Amino acid sequence: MAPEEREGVRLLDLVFWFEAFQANYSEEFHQPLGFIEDSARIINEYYWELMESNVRPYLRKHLPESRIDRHKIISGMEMSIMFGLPVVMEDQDERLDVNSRLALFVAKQILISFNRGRIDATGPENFNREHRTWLQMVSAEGYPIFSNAATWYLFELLCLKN
Amino acid sequence: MSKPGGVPTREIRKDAKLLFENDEEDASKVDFRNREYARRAFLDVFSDKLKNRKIG
Repeated sequence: MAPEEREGVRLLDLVFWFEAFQANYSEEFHQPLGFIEDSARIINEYYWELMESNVRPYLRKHLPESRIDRHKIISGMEMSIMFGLPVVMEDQDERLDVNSRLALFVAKQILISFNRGRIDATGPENFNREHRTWLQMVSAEGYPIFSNAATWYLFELLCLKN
Repeated sequence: MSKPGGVPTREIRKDAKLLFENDEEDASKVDFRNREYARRAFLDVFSDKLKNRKIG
């Protein structure tokens, strides 16, 4: 798949994820959830910029058509969401909280989709809270994509069914 | 030595090199737009708030 085609597919994934998050939020909490204008396109641009500048050059095979593994896809997507903060809320703490949930929501969907029924991605009880706290702090500190990818690598191992 | 679930430690170490390698599976072949998965992931990431709401 050509790079521009790949970017187009990921944009449609992001549109689906954001709409699904928004719809489920309205259903469960009976209130609308606002996103910044063009949120999916903006996050998609951040994501590919991160992948091309901070990930692909460090891979063993760093050709434009080479595949980036799912843990780094998840990691890069989380970083991009925390950088762009696509969900809008008046209170900044609440905004960070909901965006970290969105990042985790997207991460788990990618993991579940890749493993198709072979995983229970609920994980240890405290993981969600601890990981969201980390995401909220890391957004101002830099983008440790590889170490976050290692976290997801281990999380996947832990959650895979026999 | 195995971790709970039966994955041998040596196998985990061998796989760890994947961090700097490329994925064997093509992400473009994976369907990431599944409503059931989305619902499951949503309930999971809001489980703390939903649980508190039900108790309240």
